[in-house]
Amino acid sequence: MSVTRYSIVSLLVQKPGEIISFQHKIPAYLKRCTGFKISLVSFLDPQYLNCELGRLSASFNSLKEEAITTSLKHEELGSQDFQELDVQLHPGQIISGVYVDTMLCEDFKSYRVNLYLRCTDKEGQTQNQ
Amino acid sequence: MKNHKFQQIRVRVTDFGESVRINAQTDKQYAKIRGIYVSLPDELLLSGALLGLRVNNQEVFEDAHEIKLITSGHQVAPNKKFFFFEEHLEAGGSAIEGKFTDGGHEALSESPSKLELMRARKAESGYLYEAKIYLWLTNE
Repeated sequence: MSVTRYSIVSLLVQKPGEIISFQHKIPAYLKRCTGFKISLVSFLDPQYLNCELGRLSASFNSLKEEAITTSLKHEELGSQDFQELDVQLHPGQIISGVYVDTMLCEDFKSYRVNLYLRCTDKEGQTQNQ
Repeated sequence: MKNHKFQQIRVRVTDFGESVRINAQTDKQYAKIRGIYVSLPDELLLSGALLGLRVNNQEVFEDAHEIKLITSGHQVAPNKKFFFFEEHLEAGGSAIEGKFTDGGHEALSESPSKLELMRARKAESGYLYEAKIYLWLTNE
């Protein structure tokens, strides 16, 4: 039976317009990444509800393709669903990417963002070329 | 014999932002952990609350895993509230270890009366609130 694990990239945004680059190693026993979700961990003032807070893009050891491009919105009743992804992982795969704060407000308060990578130890089917 | 049990693990939080270690053991009479549900006394407490979970020393959730991703609110039907584990997670007396982290009082500052109530409870009983973690154990 396959195992599903959530690998978390946690980012702390400390100033408006901040650009945070990250590299994150996925445990070697995980073979495939099947989904991702970006989530606002910190509490933010309700005045920012429905505003875009930032944008994130990430790739899996390849600068040719950005597997993840998404934006973070401050929502009260946001969906907890993961966006689909189907990426085969190499042992000890590194995901690298950038988060850019787009809030750019004067009364900025630092906040934490989590990127969840839903991964499985089950090999995916090889796609026909 | 019954095939299902909802085992409760109670976590008492004594301060905002506090991390509480969890140590428990699943009921020996059940074979599998089917799902998990975390109940907090107020939905505002979900903001920033984290839960790390290990079963028999095997990491299921990292310490930075947000509780809001594995629980549901009052609007969800009782029999749909649980987060299901797709894999076979052994129960049968498994060691449960974890870390519950409170999300701080910022969300509650939106509702000063609730914040005040919690502080009054702490003055009375020594803790702010109790989080309840339910493990759905089954033999099926």
